[in-house]
Amino acid sequence: MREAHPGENLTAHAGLDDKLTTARRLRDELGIARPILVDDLEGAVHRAYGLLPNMSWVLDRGGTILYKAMWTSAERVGEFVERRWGEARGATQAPFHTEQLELRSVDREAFARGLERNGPRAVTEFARAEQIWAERARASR
Amino acid sequence: MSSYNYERFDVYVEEGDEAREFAAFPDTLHAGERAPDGELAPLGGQQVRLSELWSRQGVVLEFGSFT
Repeated sequence: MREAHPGENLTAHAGLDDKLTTARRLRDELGIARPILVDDLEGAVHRAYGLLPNMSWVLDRGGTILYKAMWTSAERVGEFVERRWGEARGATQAPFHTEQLELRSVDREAFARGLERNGPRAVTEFARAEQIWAERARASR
Repeated sequence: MSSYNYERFDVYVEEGDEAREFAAFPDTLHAGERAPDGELAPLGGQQVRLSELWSRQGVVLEFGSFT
C-alpha cells in the first residue's frame, strides 16, 4: 500500500519501482518472513478493503470473509486462526458478529525511531497530526 | 481530498480523509460476505490474484507499509 508516514528519506511512491524497492526494504530491514504482496500504484486492492493502514483480514478457502480488524494484532489473528482452522468437532458455522474497543499496545519508541528514519518531516507532520486529533477530541466533548 | 499516495501525513489528517476512512470501516465488508478479489505482485514472483490464493487454502491478509 501507500507509505503511511513519508519523509525526506522515504518519499511517497512516484512509481511502481519505488513501491517495490520499499517493499524489499520492509522485508530485508524489518526481517518480515511472511510473503509480501505488492498492490498496484493506486492501491486497487487496498481501496477495495477500506484503505486503513494496518488492517488484518482472514479469508476462508473459497473467499468468504471470516475476520476483519481495523488494526493488526498478531495475537488476536493467531488465536482466531488456530481456533477457526483447528480441530472443531461437531461445530457448525454461524454468524457470530462481535465488536470491541480494544486495547492497542504500540511500541512508541520503535514508532518514533521509524519516523526519524523516514526523515525530519515525518516527525513534525506526525506531531502536527497529533495536535489535530487532540483539537478534534476537545471539540467533540 | 488527498491523492492516494499522499506526500504529507498531516495534510491527509487535516483534510479528513483519515477520519472518513476509519469511520467507514465498521460499516463496509462484513464477515460472511465475499472478499474483494484483486491482483497483487509477490516480491520476486509472478502477479497473482487473491482468488487463486484462496482457491487453494485460507488466507491471512495484513496491510502495511515500510513507513
